Amino acid sequence: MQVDAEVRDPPGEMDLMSAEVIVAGGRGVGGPDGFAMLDRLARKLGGALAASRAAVDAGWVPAHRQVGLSGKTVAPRLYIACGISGATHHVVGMKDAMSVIAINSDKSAPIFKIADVAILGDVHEVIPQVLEKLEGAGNGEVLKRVQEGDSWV
Amino acid sequence: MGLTILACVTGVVDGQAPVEIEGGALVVEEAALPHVLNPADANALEAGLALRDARPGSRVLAVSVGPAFQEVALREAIAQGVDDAVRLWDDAFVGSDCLGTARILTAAATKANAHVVFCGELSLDGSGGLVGAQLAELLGLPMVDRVSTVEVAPDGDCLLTERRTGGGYRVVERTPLPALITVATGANVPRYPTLRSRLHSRSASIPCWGMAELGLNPSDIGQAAATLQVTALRRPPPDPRGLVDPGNDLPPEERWMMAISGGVREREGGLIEGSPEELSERLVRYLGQGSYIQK
Repeated sequence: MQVDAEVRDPPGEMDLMSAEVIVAGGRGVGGPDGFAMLDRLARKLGGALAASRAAVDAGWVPAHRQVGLSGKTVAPRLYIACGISGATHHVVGMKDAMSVIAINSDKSAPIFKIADVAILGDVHEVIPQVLEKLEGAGNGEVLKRVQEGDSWV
Repeated sequence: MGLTILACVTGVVDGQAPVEIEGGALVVEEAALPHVLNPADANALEAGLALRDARPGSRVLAVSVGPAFQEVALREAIAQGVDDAVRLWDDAFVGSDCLGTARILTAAATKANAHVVFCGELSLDGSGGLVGAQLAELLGLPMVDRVSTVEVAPDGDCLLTERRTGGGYRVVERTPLPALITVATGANVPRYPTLRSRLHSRSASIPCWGMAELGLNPSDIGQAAATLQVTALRRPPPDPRGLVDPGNDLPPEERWMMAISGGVREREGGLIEGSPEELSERLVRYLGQGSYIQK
């Protein structure tokens, strides 16, 4: 018996229940282009792509990627909520995540109440810069700097 | 060349049936409860049938260790289109544990000269998940556990199996034949029998192989030889959960959502503000220090 290949599902197909990292988007992501951006981030983190009901209802993401009361209940190691306001029916599906990062441009978004890292900013401005740092030429250097540097706060 | 495929199935008490336990034992005899084909075995059976359909000249033999009231599993297998079905039972088999069951199946697999043996990953009743591994050991076969897909490699007598290993990974393994494969519950969608085959399955006669037909040694099988014994059955203790007070500041439907989901823990993340450059820097640092970034 031999192992032929070990492959990782792409973010859009990875099983949400077994994913260690989930990058989720909501209405604030704005459309399929925004989700393509989140897909790149998820790929960089070895995670899965998910969505809130607003994004699924808008037809940007297939229904089987939905997290929340009428979707899946997940508990990954890290949940990154991008442009998700944090309506109760979404929150009950992801509240058991070990850590939660929320990125939202609305200061009063309820998602910030359950976030370990609450980032007040526009998804379309923050994520491209994150991707640039992670995917850019000086990637290794960035990694070294962030891992050896001071605590992030 | 056609393959001889052995599908090991079992009947389990229907999960919908009202099962009562008192004094460490079932109140109603198991024989009187309705039985269904074990879910994982339905997937194993489907994997076997699909392999047969992909290799002309192959045959699937379904076998099941159990008294007549568990025959429902074999009837389902016949309805789904196996070529033969044999029940393995003898009054002396009563009280066999996993190892005893594996010994009985070993004799059947040897008798049938099987190239590929399929088992479900575990049965819904005992949930030991041991028979497959013990059978592979007794038969001296390589084993791949809890696969999600199986196919014959295009270049010859090897099986290519895919297995989900968590974290979104799938492992593709190559196994020479003969081999034993256990199939994960829900790995595939079992075929839906036609009315004709369903009716045929109800009246089909199912042969039964016993101690003599299988050439087994009575001292290896049954209650006396069992290394594992069920001492008592009991229901799992209830999972105590405090009732959450969702507060009065939410609309009613959100309050019941909170109540049934066990409440939401608020977290201490202070709001981080700044330019997109600063924000992305903080985020990347957090991701890097949590070792989330993949090479």
